[in-house]
Amino acid sequence: MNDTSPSAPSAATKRPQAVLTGLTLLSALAGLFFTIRQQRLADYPEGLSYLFPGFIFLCLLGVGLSFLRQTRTPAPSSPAHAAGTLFNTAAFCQICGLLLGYVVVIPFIGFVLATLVFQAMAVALVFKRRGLLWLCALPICVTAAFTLFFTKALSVPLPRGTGLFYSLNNVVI
Amino acid sequence: MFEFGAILSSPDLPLLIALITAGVLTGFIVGAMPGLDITTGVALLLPLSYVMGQSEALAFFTAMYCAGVFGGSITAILFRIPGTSESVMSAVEGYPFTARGEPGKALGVAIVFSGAAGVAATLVLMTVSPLLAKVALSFGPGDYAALGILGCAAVVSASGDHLARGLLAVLLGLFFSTIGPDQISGDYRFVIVPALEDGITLIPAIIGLFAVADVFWRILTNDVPQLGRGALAQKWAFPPLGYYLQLTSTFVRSWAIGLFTGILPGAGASSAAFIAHSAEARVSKNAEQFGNGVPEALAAPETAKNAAAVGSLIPLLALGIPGSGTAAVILGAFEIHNLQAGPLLFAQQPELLNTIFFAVLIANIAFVLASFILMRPIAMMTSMPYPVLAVSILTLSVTGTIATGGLAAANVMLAFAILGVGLRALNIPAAPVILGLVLGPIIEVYFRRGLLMSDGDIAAVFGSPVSMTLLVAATLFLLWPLMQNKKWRA
Repeated sequence: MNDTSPSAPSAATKRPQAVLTGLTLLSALAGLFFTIRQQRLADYPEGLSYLFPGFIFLCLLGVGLSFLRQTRTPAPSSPAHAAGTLFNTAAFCQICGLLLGYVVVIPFIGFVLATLVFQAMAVALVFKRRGLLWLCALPICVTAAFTLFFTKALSVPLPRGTGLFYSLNNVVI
Repeated sequence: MFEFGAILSSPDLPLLIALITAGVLTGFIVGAMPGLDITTGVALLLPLSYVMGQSEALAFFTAMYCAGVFGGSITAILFRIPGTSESVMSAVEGYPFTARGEPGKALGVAIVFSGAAGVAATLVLMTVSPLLAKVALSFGPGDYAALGILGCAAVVSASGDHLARGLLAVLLGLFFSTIGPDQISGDYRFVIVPALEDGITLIPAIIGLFAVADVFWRILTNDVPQLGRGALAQKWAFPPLGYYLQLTSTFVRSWAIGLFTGILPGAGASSAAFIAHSAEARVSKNAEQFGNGVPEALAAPETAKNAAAVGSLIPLLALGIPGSGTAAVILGAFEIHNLQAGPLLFAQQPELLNTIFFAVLIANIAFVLASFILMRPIAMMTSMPYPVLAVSILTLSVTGTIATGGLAAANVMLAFAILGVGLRALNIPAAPVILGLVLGPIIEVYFRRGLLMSDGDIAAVFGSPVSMTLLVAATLFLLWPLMQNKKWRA
């Protein structure tokens, strides 16, 4: 990144941010030191359970605030900025939803059926592929490969679902 | 000194060789496959560890790592698509050879120098790790805590121009490491949902942050790799021995840079490749030709990245501190087998270390041989349509996570996948989060153990010369980039 680029934060704005962050870190360190001194005679180890996370949290807060202040204008080297990318949020939300749904339904309808449905929907909705090859052959081949790999090669029991689905999966697996 | 006699006379040798070969081929394909880097590949296949013995699993993954770091160079040189982040410079310097009809020259340089660097670094790994482990055996709790702090500082320092981003990522990892049962008092901390009762385990976090987040990110940004096949139709004529020998000084320089960079926690093979390339540009007589297909410009990053990959195993094995993101993932394989990487491993299980060294050495030789024979079919395999790869990665991620940790682990994986996308959007590196997750318990547990032993006297915890030296080194690591005018910026 070129320091002289127009969107780069100037040295004058960077210095107070560095000072702010440095002060936060120092305060957190001082807090840690004095808390330990205070607790020296307290009962160990229960008293210290939240000391380390508290210290990290304070640091995280300080650095995070400093970071947010600096990134109000996106850094030129950020991947999205560099590529001038338009985010495909619809596809992203679809794949997140599909994967979440996949994880949620696996215990109920079993691995085989859930995987078939997930793959067919992902290919159709997210990757916009149509046709028998993409919507049937791909899910069947990939699901069969993974099922065989996990159950036969690795001897890992895969979820079989409940009720009718359990019986159905028992036939397949 | 390590001996391979017991391994060579063992009845399990054929199985071990088969697994190392499988690891090399898998690493090769994963590295070469655009959209699947080696960290992701190792993370995806970690559940395989459950069906392998300790030594077999570690041999497989270390072999896969060594071959995978090189595998990215194949698509980088032939199609200008780096299969891994380590191969970016290979694409810049290697593709011009292909463009002018000489892919064999670039592939030859990449294969020979990567293999030689890996073998030479393995010899250092075999010599230095036991010595380092012997020194580490005398470490007290404070020394270990200081070592963890040094690891964090090195990771932040390796964040290049963006120290704030590196620090933020490490702190996130450190914070996540405190979720779940406190290892000393047994208190449950930040368990806001039942899925966090056991804390954040490494494997779902790794799979979510690397494998799933990568697919999500590519979908979000429409960044779907597509390969042409023009380079596959060309004739590949590999250069004669003299062509390689004239690059000996480049090899020595870049190997030393790569090895040193690899040993530093967090720096990894990607940084090593960039550093070696820019160092070579400073000393080369053909500096103005860099970017147009000059052999030394390609040899430097190829050498450095493989030396760094093996170098990153030195702190992992000797101290339990991973030297790179992938080394942190390999630590997951140790975890699966209830092994603790570090000095005690050398004292208690030297035969396991022997197997790992053997695997790394054989892998570095095997991938050179395999490259010359299988380069073309592997290059053809990488032109798999991305939707097939993406749904396979997602299915394997969910299945692998459920197989290792149940549905709770799958939820953690999903959360880390979303986090991974957020980190990429903010240009924050993901590997330091995992390193923070690994180093957090080391720092906290040893620090508190030190406090218990010293009756709460913090000065006594860090009072030893080793601790003081490590803490001074950590401070220098943090201050050095600032003194180098890299500034505090996001």
